[in-house]
Amino acid sequence: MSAAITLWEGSGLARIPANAKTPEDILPHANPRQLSARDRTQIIYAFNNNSYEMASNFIWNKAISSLKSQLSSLGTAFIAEMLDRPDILPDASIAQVLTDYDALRLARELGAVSTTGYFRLKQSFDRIAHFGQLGPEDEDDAQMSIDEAIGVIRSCVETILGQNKIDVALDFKKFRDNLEAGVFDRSDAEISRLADSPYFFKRASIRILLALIKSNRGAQLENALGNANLIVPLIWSELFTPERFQIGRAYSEIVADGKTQAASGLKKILLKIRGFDYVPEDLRSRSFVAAAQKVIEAHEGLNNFYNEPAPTKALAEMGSTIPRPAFPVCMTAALSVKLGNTYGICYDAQGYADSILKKVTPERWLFFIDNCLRADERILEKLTDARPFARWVGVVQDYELEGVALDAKDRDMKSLIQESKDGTKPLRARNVLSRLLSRMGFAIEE
Amino acid sequence: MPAKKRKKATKAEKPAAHSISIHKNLSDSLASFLEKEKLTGSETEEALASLVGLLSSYSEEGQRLFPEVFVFDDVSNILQTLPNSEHVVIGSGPKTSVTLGLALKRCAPLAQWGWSIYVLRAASEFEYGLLRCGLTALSLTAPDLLIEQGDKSLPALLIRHISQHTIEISGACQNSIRIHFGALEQPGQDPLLVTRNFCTSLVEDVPAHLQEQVFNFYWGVFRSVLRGGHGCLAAALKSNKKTLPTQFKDGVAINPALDIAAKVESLLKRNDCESDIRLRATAALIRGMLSTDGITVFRPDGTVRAYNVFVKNPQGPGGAPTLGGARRRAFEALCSWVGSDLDSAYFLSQDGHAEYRGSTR
Repeated sequence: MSAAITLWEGSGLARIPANAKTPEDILPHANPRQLSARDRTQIIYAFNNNSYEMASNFIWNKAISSLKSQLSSLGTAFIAEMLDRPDILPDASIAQVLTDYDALRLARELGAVSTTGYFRLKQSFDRIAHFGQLGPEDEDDAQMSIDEAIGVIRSCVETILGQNKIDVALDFKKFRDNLEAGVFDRSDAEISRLADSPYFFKRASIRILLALIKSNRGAQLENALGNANLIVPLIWSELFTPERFQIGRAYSEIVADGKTQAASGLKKILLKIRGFDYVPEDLRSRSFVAAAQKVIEAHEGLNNFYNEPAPTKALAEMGSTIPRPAFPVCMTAALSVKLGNTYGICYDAQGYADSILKKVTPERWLFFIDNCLRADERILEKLTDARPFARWVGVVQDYELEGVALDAKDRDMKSLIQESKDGTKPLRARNVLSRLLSRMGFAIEE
Repeated sequence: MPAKKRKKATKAEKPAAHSISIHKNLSDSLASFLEKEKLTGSETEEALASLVGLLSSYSEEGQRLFPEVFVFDDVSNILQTLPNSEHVVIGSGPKTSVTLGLALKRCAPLAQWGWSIYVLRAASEFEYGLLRCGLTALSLTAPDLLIEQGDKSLPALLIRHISQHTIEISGACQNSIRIHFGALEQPGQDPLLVTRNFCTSLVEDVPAHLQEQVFNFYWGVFRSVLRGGHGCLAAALKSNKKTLPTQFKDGVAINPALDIAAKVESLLKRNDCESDIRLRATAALIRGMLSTDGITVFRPDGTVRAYNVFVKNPQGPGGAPTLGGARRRAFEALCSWVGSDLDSAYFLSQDGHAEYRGSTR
């Protein structure tokens, strides 16, 4: 799709001069409604007393809380659907269940932050997570530097705290409102654009529709079903397995909750696209999804190296066969632990992650490579980092994925495995990753 | 007169008995019905006619049974559209009415607690067994998904009692036949429609996000009452009536009221066994209340306020007593209060005749 086709765009960055190097230079660019004068004074005070980590943590918490609060206005059910997290209950508090990384991902997908802003925030988050988990014995050797602290403050202000709250996700909201306010026609420009758009727009559209179908009634539900009846068949052939399972699981949940009209509409769509293979036979997969989400939550939260072993052990002990609908997210969880992040891995959780991966048959690895990994931006983004990529090379070797990938249908996925077999050509692998991510609509920040 | 000739003359005087068979009428109707439902086949037509005959008064060990029977051609595709479903194969046999008779004998006693009988029309035989679907008391049922929300791409039939003397055959293509076995063909309104109207009046003040599920709950309860053939009387108070009006004092008031919407909400939120069992147990309780001789009193917020309530019969025109049985007379009394104390009144006789009176909002 051409660059002109966009449904919504991320907010721009607050303009902070390139030569701004101190909190005193940067903080005046924060919106007073988001960061009070008292907060600024405290940050400056901590910074000037060489408490760089304290200042960074403070501003990070302010920024991420503000982001979560803006996202929560969209509704819990909606956020659960957008993140494909059936474990988030309707009355859950978004601030509690949404990990910082989830909030960043969602903000990027909904256009609340730009791609550049997302990458800068992600780097800040990794930095804060790393210093946060150091033990007292390590802290003397490795302290957050002044430059690192300034980086965190800058990214928080220019991406979140410098923005006006009300502007966030307005374009996105308009698109969502249109989906429930009326029924699109095949010839409408929005539908033509959607058909040609990058993968992540399509995925977001499907998730929006499912959220509307699950939560609406009456005319709004009819409109959402009418639009789903048009959009799902239109893009079904391009949808990857996780999204197909998400539709199947939504049908199963709607039937279980006794929602007659929604079930009837979704059933018609599934019959039209012959999608009943993706409806789980039972809700056993739900428990696996919830367990995998706990692993991801621990991995992406603060103190991840301490928190990963328990949920990873729980997932490893859930049973030898992972139900197909839960397989993609379980693989994301196990690989997240296995690949770690730029600062290392959790050694205590490696054995459990290995035991999950060892049970994966070559057929299932092929299924994962062909149908799941190419749309798994969590793992793909990890691979753009040199250290997780080096561990990925180990995974490719240990599980003999080179041989498995010979049967892969996707050329880029085949190349990725090929370029990962010995790790000698990381740049070539990075090019493939760049292609895969841009196919989804994302870009790699250099 | 010789004895032989005398006998012959006597025989000629007595006309042959006129035979009337519902089987013949049914077979004729079934032919076009099956064609519309895309499930044609002379064996099916013949076997279904005899199955309906068997079901009309089916009992085991002296107890009447009301199994639901599905007929379809493709078990795997059918089960795929029923999330959380399972099936048990019981047997198979030639495509004859004898096989369906045996299927009924073997499966009918098992077809309860959500299980339905199915008959699969395989290439050369009928396979039969039991199927069920759903997770909780709120889950949509196999009849909901296969018939009421049926699709012509998945042909299926459902044969079931809608009242003790009436069997309905309905299909995925939305055609249906009703066969009445009572002495009289039911006059008046469709009992299912009447019952739906009453169930709708019970949920009008239920929070919007729970209305559909609370309606389905009551619809399930009243359908089983319809099948049971006991008859019942029920009424819904006006929204503004917080307490039982004086004319309903002769009965058992339930304090605190049974709050179905709260139980449904709890199940939707917690999705656990405890909430499910509580809701199922409440359904059993309400079925019991409806089977008493008195009136069961609800409110439009879905709560149950009283049961086994008796009211004084009103005077007819000119002070004369109202005609009809006790239940009919009590219903007339309820109707006279619709619009003042009551929002709606519901009457179901033992023979399956149902009436509804509701105030217009």
